[in-house]
Amino acid sequence: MILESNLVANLKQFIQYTGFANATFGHIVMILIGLVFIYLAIKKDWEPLLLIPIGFGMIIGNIPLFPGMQVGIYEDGSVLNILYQGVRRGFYPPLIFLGIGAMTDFSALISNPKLLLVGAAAQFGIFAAYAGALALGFTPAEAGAIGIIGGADGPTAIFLSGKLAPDLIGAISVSAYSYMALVPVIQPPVMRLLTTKKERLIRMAAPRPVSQKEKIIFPIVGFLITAFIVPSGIPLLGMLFFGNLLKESGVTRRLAETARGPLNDIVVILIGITVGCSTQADKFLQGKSIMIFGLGAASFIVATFAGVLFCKILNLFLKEGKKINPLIGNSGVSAVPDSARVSYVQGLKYDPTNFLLMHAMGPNVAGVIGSAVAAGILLGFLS
Amino acid sequence: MKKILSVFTLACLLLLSSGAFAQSPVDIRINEVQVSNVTGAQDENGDRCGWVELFNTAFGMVDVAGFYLTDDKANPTKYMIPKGNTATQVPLRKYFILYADGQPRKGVFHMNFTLDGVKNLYLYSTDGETLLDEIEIPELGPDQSFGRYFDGEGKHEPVNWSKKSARKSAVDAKVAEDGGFSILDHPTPGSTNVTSKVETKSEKMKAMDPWGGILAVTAMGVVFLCLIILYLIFRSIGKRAIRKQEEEKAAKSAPATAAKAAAIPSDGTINEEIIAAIAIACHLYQGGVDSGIHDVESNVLTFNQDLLRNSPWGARTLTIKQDPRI
Repeated sequence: MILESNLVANLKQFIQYTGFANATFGHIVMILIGLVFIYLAIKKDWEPLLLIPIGFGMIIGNIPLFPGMQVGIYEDGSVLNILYQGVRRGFYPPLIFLGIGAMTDFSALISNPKLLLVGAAAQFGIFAAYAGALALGFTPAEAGAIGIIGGADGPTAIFLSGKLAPDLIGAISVSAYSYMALVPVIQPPVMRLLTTKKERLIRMAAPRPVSQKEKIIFPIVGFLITAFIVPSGIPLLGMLFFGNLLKESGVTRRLAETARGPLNDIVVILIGITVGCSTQADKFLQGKSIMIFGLGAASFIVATFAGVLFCKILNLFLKEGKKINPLIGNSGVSAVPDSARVSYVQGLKYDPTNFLLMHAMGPNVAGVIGSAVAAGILLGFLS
Repeated sequence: MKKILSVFTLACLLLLSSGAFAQSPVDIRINEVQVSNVTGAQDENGDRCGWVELFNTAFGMVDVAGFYLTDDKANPTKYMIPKGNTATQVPLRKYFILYADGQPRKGVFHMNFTLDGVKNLYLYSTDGETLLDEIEIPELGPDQSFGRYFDGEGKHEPVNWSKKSARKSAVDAKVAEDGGFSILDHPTPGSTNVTSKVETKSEKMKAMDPWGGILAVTAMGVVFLCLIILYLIFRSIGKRAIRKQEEEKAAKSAPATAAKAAAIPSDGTINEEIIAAIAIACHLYQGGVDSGIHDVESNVLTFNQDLLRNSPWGARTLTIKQDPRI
């Protein structure tokens, strides 16, 4: 009899620990969102390298837990919490930037440096979203973290939100990565709206060959200039240009391959899974998250608008034969290489012999530099 | 000789740079002192006495073991902070407390003099000669302390430290008029002297720029500035590179024209052997981009021999680090 009652008590206690006993409607919703992410990644091929870790992370993070077992991502000392420190304290994003630097070829930008300015113009989306977030009642620090979604740069968004608004890091990073995956959906209508058929057919001169010396000088000078002007951007800019120097120096092939290969893959896995885990229902399913998603979409649209419009303005001052096809303006956001691919595909639609990919890579990589600089400025002003 | 000189220069630079960036004693300040402690903080024995608080202004750990405190400039080594204790390693932006009860046998960090009647307190480095900081203590009532408004900031009498950092000099210059010190009614041993609410940057920004327009204009200006400077630099570098390429091309074209003239017979027909050679070369490299031998990134079609992939045993000789070129 005593044995029986003990067994029943133990069973009851065990049931209390299961996910079924602790599940809420929010948990189920978040698990479903995670499954949708995985579906989009596998079926639609939308940013699978990010959406699969994030989607599965959402499922892991939203398994209902009995608190105090030290397994949740927000419980000090748990394994997930330790891995999450890379997001929370911001040391994953610079490592991602190291990989980006080591895999980015800046030669399109070096051969036509005026495309740097297109990358600068597209950062307007960040500050439009910042103003929008302020109007919606967010604090300036939160607004800065939300605004950076407009840079279309996931690691930068995580880095900045970790510093300025840690409570919003889940919503901001998921929003940033979701919209990066949606670049082929969001940008083309804006590009078509702002350009005439004649402009879409502009052919740009082929980029000139760039010497290795120029490629080596670029990361060194680029870092010195940007870091001296915006020292708060050092973690991102330093690693970006360092990675690029590893690639271009020609004598550190192994380091460059590690940075852009295994190291980058490891960090992408860790950042994806922990960001996904951080979206626990009670922290994620809030009115604020919906506003963040709305502002994120608006910032992408404004960034595309600003990039395309800037190309059109620039064309007013350029001679015939040197004009820029405004379809590459959208690439000023730093979703590399997705937005450049969008320019390329749109260009081919109107002229199957007009290959814009290499030209679009210029503003695209300039956007990476621009968004890191913008993040540094926001950090300097608001932290 | 040139090589030796280069190595020597490199070694000197490395030595100099390591010295320049090391954390140093000049980052330690006397932050707060209390002379008469009636109801305040207790030492490890539960007793109350005067105390001295040091603050590490650096962004790295500084070990204060072997530093000297004195109230008599003629006797700079009056009290030495004991060595061999890890507690003397003061982390970045943290505090270190010494009890001024004149009873050094009472505990490790108990000084051998009290602050009663002390007018000036001096902090010396481990050499007992370099004056790091000094403060002039005014008349203090019971339970009052004297310290800096903001931790580590404020006027410094010794100026020899200022060579270390222009930034710190500039910070101090802002509060030079009143020295940045004050009598504090709420002593704060081991924690920040700032007890009033400090307005954060975010709050200041909200008050100054509620709609975000100023920040947007400023930030976009800075982003453009950075990228315009880069544009100007690389436009100029690009122009030089194009000029150089054209010069090299011109220099190469002369012998090439001569060779071409020699290879092509006077009747204009191309030798069959040349055609065969071109055909074989094309055949060897017909794998195209997918073969991985062409570098497509820089828009230059290249035929690179992929030594690493084709070499036996993973070509250790190719992957190990080569001697540096000096």
